Amino acid sequence: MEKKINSKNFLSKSINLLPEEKEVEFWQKLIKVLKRIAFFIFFAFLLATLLIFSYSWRLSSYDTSLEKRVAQAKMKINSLREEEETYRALVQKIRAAGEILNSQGTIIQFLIEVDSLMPSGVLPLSLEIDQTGQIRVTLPSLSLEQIETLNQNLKKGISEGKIAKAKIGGISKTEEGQYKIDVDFQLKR
Amino acid sequence: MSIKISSDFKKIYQMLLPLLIIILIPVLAIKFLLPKVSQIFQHQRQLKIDETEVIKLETKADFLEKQKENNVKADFEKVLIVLPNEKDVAGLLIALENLRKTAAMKIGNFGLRPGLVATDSGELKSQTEEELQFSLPITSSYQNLVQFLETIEKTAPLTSVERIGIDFQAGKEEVKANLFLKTHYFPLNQEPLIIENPLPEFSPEEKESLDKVLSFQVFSYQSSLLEDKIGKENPFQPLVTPLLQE
Repeated sequence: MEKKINSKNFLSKSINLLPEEKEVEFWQKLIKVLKRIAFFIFFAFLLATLLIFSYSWRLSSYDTSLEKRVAQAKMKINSLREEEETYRALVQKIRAAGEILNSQGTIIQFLIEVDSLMPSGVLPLSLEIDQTGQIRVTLPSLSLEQIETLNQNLKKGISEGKIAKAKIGGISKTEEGQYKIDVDFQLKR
Repeated sequence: MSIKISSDFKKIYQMLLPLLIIILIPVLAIKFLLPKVSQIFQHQRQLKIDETEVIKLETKADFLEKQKENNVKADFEKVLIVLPNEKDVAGLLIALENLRKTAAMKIGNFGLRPGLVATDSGELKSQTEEELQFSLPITSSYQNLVQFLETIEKTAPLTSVERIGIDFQAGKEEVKANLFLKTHYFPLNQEPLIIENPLPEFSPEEKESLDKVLSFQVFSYQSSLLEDKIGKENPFQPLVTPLLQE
């Protein structure tokens, strides 16, 4: 009986011991995990702080170098003030004159166009041309054939888009049996 | 019992520091590092803007340096003769006189009414004050007339042919022409120079216009005077010339 009791006591003792050991083990593990997490967090914080501050320092040193570059560039621009004024004036002048420069040579172009429209061998009596392409030609002596050629030429000019409009004004017969004719037409630029 | 308490206390004590670190460090990170990070981002953005600004300024400075090397002032001086700021009547007369000499044609009395040539403020306000219209009667061959028209449009100051009236004479090579010309002036608008303002750029067409202007024929006042021998001969010339040569 006593032996039985003893064995029972031992059993109970061993049952009580097992959770206590486990508890200790659990706590030890928990502390270990917590310590690792804390170490990791601390290390990460330290690393992040280091990185942030070193990057911030790098940025501010770059900022300083940029400021130096700005100051240098401004100084250089200031020393080239006269060149800037000249260059700006040059651009202003060229822009203002652009349209006039582009329209140069139009009158000569119109003269060539008029020449190509006239029937061959015909010399005009007078010719008036302006910048807009408005032309008035007086042809002193044309035969009927030449009038027809002129008419065809003007029609061709209109169909080719060279002439906006053409008008044959007064026709009068000369003593030599020829025709004096006034032609008005508008050349396209 | 006391052993149990002391062991529990030990456990808590061992856990306290890691727990403090785990709780406090994220708090510290949120409190101090996060604002610093957002500050860095802001700084980065600002630096990018500054960088663009610096590049712009440096490009402008380099461009101006190049302009100095390319002698922009010399170009502008020529442009100023071709496109004067205000009515340069003398310049126009010199050009016409020189053209007359070179073109081999008869130029009659030309009608020139310069009108307002300068103002107190230096500003010419209306369009008509920026132009000088004049007529030029010419007697020459048709070929010479066409050549003259080409030349006058490439001679300083900038002149455009507005209208031409040509009378052909039967049996004669000569034609009588009346040219209606317009010389243009381009007053400058003075703008205050601001370092940060970017420089205007020439478009390809404007570059072409500049080249055209730079190729204009310019007659100087001296050249027109030196070539002309007007009035009586200098009786002392034979005496003065050897002295000048010495």
